Amino acid sequence: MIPADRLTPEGALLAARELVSASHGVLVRKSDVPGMAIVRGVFDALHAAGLAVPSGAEFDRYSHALGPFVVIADGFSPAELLAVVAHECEHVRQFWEGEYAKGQTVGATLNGGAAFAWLYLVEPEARVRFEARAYRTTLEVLRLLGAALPSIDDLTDSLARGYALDAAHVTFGRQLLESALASVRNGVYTTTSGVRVEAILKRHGVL
Amino acid sequence: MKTMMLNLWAWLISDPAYAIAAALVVLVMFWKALPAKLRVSIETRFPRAVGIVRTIVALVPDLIGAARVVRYQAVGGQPRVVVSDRAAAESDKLRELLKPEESKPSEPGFVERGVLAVFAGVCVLALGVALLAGCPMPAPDGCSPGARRCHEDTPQVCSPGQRWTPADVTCSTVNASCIVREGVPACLRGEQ
Repeated sequence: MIPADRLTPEGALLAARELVSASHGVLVRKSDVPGMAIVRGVFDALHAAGLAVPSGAEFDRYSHALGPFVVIADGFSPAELLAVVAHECEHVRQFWEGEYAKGQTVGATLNGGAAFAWLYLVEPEARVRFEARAYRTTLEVLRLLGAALPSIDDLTDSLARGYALDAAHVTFGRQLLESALASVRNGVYTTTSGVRVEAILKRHGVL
Repeated sequence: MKTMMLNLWAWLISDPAYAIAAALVVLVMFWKALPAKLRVSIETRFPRAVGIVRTIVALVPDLIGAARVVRYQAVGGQPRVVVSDRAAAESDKLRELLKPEESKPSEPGFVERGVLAVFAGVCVLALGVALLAGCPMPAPDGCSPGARRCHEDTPQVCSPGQRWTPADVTCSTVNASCIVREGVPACLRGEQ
């Protein structure tokens, strides 16, 4: 039995709530958000115009982080719910602290707060960097739960379809994810949300 | 919201008169939304076309009313009060269609709807601040895009913008080492 099998829907939601709370975020059900039909329509229009963004139907299945708000779509299994919430919580952490916490890494890092919102929306390079880090969180949670990890091609495909990126930035994202995948397969967990999930699951006896 | 829009749409296309009236309302709203200078310029260049549209907008409500009187009173032989009742019934039907759905309470574990008003406000505020901030990316390092390395025990990738980008934390902070394997730098444990 893998840890994912020990995770009940109630347990996953409890862990998700703890994680969101630790990230200083607020958990929101996507179907409760007003005006989603309009947003869906905008995505349909952009998708029809040939932009590399999800269609309205795909958008319904996506979860999001908007500032401190973690907006979660319906219909996930317990393991999927926790992986998705962890991904979005990493974005919430990025919103509060920036791409990496201070002193955590070497190299020019990206700021949080309003800068996070601006860079994510306007700069494809920043968007890839923020997403690659959040994807790594998803990988870490899946490995913690003993679930199968997606291939690098699957991850690249997700990046290419969902974030309005050109080929050069998709390749850049793939390189970041190759490093992440190699590290996570080796059992190294480095994202704040991934490490928090590990602690929460241990506390609840899932790990 | 979706149900309300669908109901409104269903009601609009249920009768050609409603559809025409709605199209005119949209047209007028669009016209009024144009800046006054642009409206004057259009009117100066196409006086006849604008005049015809104005005539239609002015006449159609009366024409629809007249058509109803002809249809129900003059041809159908119904007294005026029945025609009014019919209009009232249609108005009730519209009210029923447009009635907002009963809002279900949020499921346990998710935020209540009341918080979502704050949510919208925060989003607008954050975006506004971000727009004002106009934050730049870090300065380029001049590296060759696609290059990868371990630098100061940190995996890095050169971005399309020629910036050495950390692909992870500094590995020693998580008891690992930065190792390049098959060209991919990563934080790994138990390998040299």
